[in-house]
Amino acid sequence: MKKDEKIDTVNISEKGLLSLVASKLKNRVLFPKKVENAKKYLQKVKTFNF
Amino acid sequence: MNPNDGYSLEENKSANDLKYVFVSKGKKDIVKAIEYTYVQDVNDSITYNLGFGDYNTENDEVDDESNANNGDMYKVFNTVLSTIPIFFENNKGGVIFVQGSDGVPGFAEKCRLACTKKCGGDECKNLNRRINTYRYYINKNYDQLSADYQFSGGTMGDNNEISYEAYVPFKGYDSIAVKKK
Repeated sequence: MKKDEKIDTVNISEKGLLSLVASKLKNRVLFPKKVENAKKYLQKVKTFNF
Repeated sequence: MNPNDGYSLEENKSANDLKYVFVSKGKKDIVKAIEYTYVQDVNDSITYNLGFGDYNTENDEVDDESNANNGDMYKVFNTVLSTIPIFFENNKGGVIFVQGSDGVPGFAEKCRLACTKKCGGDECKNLNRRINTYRYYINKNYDQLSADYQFSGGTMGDNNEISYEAYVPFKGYDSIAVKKK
């Protein structure tokens, strides 16, 4: 990186960061592969004691 | 568990799922995400998957296979556990299903391709590591936990069918299901 190049950074509090991430993740399924695997697994259940 | 043993959480609730994010402050700061997602009804039990992984700020993705070794495993684990009572407050009668991302078919073969643990032969030290972390916690605190929660352990038989039974401490299971009494 050249000496005169600057990286834009923004200072943000932890609470602000978490709110930002939470809003970005809203309405998304975060682990689709895992949920799909869980579905496949649970479809093979023969006995469930609940 | 002492509530002070975990990190502060940011909650995000919708009709079908419940999410939390927090910052793991170990060797470096890592944003982690926890999600309870509806999977399906099993014998009239509304079953939710408990997922947990690292949020990557660069690509906006959450990875449940990463192993950050951030030096705060117990505090992170306690944070995940601290969300369980809140889940049951919001989903009375619901069942939480846990199966480690390192316990699915094909994991050991994939792990061997980039093995860093010097596993020999057919052994894979990472296989079922996550479910074993949950099992370790349940086994250690079973008497106290079983006063409020009902645990069930699932195993796959030779016929490729899954059977759940009342959880037996120290017995090996592929998955764990838990319900509030």
